[in-house]
Amino acid sequence: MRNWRYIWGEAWANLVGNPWMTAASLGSMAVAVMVLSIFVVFAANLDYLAGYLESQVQIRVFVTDGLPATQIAALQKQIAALPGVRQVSFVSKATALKQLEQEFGREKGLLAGESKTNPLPASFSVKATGPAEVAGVAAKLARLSGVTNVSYQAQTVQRLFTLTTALREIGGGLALLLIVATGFIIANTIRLAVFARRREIRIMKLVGASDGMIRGPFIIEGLLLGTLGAALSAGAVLWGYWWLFRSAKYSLPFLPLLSLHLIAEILAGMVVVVGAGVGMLGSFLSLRRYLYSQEQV
Amino acid sequence: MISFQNVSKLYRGKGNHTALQNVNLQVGKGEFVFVVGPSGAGKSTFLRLVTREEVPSQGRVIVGGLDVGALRPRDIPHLRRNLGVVFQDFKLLLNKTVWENVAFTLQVTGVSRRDILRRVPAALEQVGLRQKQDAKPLQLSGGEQQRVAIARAIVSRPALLLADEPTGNLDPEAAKSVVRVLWEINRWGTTVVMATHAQGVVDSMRQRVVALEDGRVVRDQLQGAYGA
Repeated sequence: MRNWRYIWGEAWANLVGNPWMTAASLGSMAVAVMVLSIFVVFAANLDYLAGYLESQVQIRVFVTDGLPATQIAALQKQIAALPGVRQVSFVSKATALKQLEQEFGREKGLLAGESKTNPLPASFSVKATGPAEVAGVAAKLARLSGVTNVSYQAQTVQRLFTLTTALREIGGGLALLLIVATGFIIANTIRLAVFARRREIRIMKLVGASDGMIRGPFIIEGLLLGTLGAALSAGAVLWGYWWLFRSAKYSLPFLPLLSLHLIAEILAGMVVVVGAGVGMLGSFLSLRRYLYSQEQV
Repeated sequence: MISFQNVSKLYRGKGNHTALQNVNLQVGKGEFVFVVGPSGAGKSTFLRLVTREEVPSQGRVIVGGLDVGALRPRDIPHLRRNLGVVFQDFKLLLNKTVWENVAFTLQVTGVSRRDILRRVPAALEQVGLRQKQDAKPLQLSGGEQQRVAIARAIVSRPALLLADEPTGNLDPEAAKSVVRVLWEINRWGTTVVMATHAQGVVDSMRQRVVALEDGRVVRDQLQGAYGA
């Protein structure tokens, strides 16, 4: 208990007593964490966008003209029960024509002749659970009785699938790399602080301070610097995101973006994990190396 | 208190320098011992073997019943809490006051605040620096700084005090005051081992003298002098 008071007091005194050192450490931590948080915010949105795009992939299933309503209902149940199908909705002949008219907009007069006879077939609009499942689902759908034709944008789906997979894998790898880099920056910052106080450490060792007592203040310093630096940059990134989010809502309303609330949660997690965790771990490791290299002293 | 049994210390590297060679030596409780000899004779190595800053290449170093060379790293603090060490260059923390420098030893070894408040003034009193407890080291003279370092070394009440050239950076007057303080401490029961080549100091004290040359004990004399 009294050791804790000494350790926190010493850590605080060192931070406040060397304002330039503290400012420099805070600055480098903040920059390191900022790069990481910008990346994570970007990656989280890309992932969200990829998920959104995936959910938009549709398979069109055309049914035999004049199929009775009971069979259509049975077919819909059959489709919904297929593995890999997320959602299925029925598009009647009339609805199909209405959609087409909407797409033609002002030129819908061109369709005037068609609306009497309506050559458009009724269909099901099927959404797969993911782009990887689309081809398999489509093949199964084609084999169902009452189905005349199945169509989906095979190339689009394939490209989207490749893109989203790559985005997730590269994103994960980069995030890991950035976390490690951030850890190194923090470890180096602490090593500088250790070097600046090597005299003190030597005296502590000579008067019989335990390693825990020597490490304690540095680890608390790492914790405080890491948390504060990460909080600073997370705040800045959140502010930037809020600003972008607000302008994007008007200029790019169709773009799906993660809500401010969710981003704040992600950034708060980063402050705790990267700031506090990596801060403490960084100082622990750099100190262990230092103390070990000085073992005889 | 200290027992060296056939101790040799080799520094590997360029030319495999032998710092100590087959040293046998006993220092009893409460003794005051000068270790003398020219630079490079092995005086500092001798002290560093006692504090476990070095481990012997051969032989055993026993301090207060502990086989120092065989200590596990986590047991080293226990050894050092029973030792006080004083250096030629004082090794004070310049950003701390005299009081804080002395209290530091107790803080980092987990002594209670109440005990610190009791023991720091007593240690400062013993070296005659109670009045300067709020000064920073650089506001003091060399002799005073060394006395602060001594206060820091004795505040944990060690059974053994080691001093490595404590008067090396001091003028004769200041050196005398430092040695007087060490002598006082010794009279209160602490074993003192002082490495030095301050001839005047050694000759005036007439204590046990251990002379080293090229890593060997060439003379061990009760009530000795610097020269033979």
